[in-house]
Amino acid sequence: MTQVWLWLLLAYLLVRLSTHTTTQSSTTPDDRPLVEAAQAGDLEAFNQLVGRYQRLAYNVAYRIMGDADAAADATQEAFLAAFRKLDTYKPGTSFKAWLLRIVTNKCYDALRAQKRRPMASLDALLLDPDKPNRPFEQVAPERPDEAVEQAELHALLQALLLKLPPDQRAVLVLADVQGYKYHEIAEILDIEVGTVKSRLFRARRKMRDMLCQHEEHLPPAYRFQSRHTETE
Amino acid sequence: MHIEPELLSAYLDNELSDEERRTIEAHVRTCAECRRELAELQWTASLLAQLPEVREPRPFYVRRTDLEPARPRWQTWLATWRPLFRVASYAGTVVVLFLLLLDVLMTNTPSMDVSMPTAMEMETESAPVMEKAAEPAGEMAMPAEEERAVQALEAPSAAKSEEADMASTSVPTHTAESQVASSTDQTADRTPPPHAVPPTRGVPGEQQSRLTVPRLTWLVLLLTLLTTILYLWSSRWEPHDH
Repeated sequence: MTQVWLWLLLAYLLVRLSTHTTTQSSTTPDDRPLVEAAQAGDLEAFNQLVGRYQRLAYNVAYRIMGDADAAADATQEAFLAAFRKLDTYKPGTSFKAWLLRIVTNKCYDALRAQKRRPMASLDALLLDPDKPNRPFEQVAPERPDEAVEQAELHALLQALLLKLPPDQRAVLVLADVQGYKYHEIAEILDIEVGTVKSRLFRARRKMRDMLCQHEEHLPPAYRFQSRHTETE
Repeated sequence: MHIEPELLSAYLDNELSDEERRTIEAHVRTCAECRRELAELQWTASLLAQLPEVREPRPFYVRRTDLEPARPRWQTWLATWRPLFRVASYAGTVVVLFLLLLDVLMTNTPSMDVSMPTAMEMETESAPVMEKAAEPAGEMAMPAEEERAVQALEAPSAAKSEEADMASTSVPTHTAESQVASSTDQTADRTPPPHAVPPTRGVPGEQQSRLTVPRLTWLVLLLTLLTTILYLWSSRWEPHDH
């Protein structure tokens, strides 16, 4: 009889152990040892974290800034700043969120500095292929005409994103482009969940209005009318 | 009564309670306006979700050199002029040694009395004038061009203040005529009018004449020390050769 109890206890422990490790790995993969090493001054450990998050950080920066070079500068500055103020990172919280907060703040700083320069019009953004300069997109469409269509769509969306106020833009990028949940966005941007909700709604509505206004720029397949009639 | 559009937006993200969600679903079934609003918001969000991931143009690894704090301008200045400090400190040392040697020789050579009569005469009138007169004599004796470099680099302010000093002290002793001369031309101080210097005044002893050269030696020595300190100090901000 005692054997049965022992087996049950062992099974229970195994289950607990496995759930424990899985939940831990799902929230913060294994940033903790690297973060701790980096906090002790290990640059190699920090650069492993850079390797892990640079794609994400750059993508967030690029969608907020709309320019490949400016985004690269902001990302580089953000990683430098992150290493310098690693002691302000609170263990137990998400390192990714902490890092993305620095990235968005660097983007805000850069945008504020850019503000003195006149803003390019939407047509200029769409027609001039060199301005703003675009990074390489990680897509491989099947047909060439599809590729052209998608490139047009992406250029228009990015140009319209730049017309939003930076705080709304950041929420929209994190929610709809990167797919974060409200509580994650709240943590990244250091704002209330309620603020995320209202800001995201205002950003979406403004984006919707602009998309309707410039619908002729959209490839036909992506226009609201064609989609709407399809779904109904 | 329509649904608040903000709730429709949150509905898309599945960020509502079950009750709110059921209410919206029931309402949207009957209300075409809210249905359209929801569809448009969904269309917007779905288009944005199509934005692809982009590839970073370069890796963003942090290097040790990136972490060095930006240097203040004076540090950069010191680092750039470091070779000059080096030359100046060596040249200054040579000049100081040479001057000391000269001092020793001059105090022991009787011909000194012939070579420095103006200096002695002027000294009787005012000490600063005498000092200035001694300086050209020292410079003439100096063969090293580095000395000029040292003085040009470090001494202009010192020399200028000295000159100004001299002008102010020598003015009251001169006549009105020489006052005009000294105010219009600084070099007039170096060779004061002969009538301002009575030749009958007491001739100073050898001890005093010996003191005239060490003044210059002291100045050069101080400048040399300064450049040496700057040279040693600026080594901290020299660019590293890795």
